[in-house]
Amino acid sequence: MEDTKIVQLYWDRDQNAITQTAHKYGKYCSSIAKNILGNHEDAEECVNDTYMNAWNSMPPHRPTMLSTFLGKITRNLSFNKFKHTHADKRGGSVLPAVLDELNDCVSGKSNVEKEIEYKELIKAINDFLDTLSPQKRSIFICRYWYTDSISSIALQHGMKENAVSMTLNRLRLKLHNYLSEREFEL
Amino acid sequence: MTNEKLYEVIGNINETHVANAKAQKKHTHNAWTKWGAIAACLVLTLVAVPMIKTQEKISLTDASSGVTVKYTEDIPNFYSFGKLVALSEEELFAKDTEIFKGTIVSIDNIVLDFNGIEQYRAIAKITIENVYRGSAQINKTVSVLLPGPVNEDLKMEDTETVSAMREGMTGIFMPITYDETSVWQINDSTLALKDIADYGFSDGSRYAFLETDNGVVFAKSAYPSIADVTTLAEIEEYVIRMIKSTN
Repeated sequence: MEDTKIVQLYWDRDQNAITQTAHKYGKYCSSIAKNILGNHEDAEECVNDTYMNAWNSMPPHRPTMLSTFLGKITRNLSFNKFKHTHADKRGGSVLPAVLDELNDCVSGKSNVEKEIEYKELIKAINDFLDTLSPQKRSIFICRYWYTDSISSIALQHGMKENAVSMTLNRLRLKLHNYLSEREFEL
Repeated sequence: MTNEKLYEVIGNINETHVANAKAQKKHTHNAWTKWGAIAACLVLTLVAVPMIKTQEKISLTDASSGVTVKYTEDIPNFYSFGKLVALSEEELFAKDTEIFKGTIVSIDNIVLDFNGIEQYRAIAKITIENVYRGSAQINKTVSVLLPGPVNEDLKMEDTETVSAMREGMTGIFMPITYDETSVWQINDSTLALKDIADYGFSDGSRYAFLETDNGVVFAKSAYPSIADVTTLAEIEEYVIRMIKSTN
């Protein structure tokens, strides 16, 4: 079913909306949750919470891109669960490695940043992504948004795993320099 | 900032980028392809023994036909350009080019396939910091087609400036603007250059001045009056002077 029709089902308060969402985007959301939590049961719980969250958000929201709208909810819910359950001690989660890599870009100091600074930071990261080739942009987002494993990114792009790791190293350095030059306190 | 906060912030990036990231698929050309080809046009000759593996296609409009363009990490090990037509400094500045200062934020090599005839080039993305001539906008990142691929191991002739280009370098650039009339035709194939870049260089040596760790790099033989300068600031003064004198 087309996304606009699924969104309309939510607006019509038709419970078929959730069935259709699960049919079309269940695997997509599951893979995001599984990458973060590394645990099938917790991941499925987050995916089910994603559907409930979507049900409560539409209306008033009418997302233009249903996939990323749902993916973002799953990512947030899974990340919160990860933080609260210390899921990093479990095997299978890609997130501990991803967070470890992101240490290259930040000081690690827990500053009290303002919301407006986050908005500017998001804009700067978007601008940074605009400077990348589509392939490099995809590799960056697969790793740091989708929390994909290196092997899965290598498979998607037909690259060797060490080439993906090398590319990510360079991209983190570039991001750090890009943000530092724009005087973001990282 | 903590790594967790940055991870959270990345969660709010542009949704289109997020959706497109999963649409990017591999383009496999696994076999080692050994070939030798001499593609001649007026200004360049290419001899190459490339290994082709990971490539990503660039979408072209209907203005292009019979040609494909892909990003590539595998480029020929030798690249040669024909003799450049001699031009004086005044003639070089009299060319209809934009002139701006900027920083190279990325360089990606590409392979263009004109119905079986392959050509290698690179696309540099440059964030503009100052505009001396033309309609380019400060702070905008633009794409410039380089007249050859770029790689530290690559040996190229007559392309000393483009060969020296690296990500992070600042320079003064004099590219031509691509419009609807800018086409590259080989072997009954047509590439609308605007499909792949905003600008392009007429040759690989005379239309850029770079600030590198080893000093400024530019075609000193083409600009004898500034052959001894050592800083980009001096070149900037010269460029402004030349623009005024050729107006």
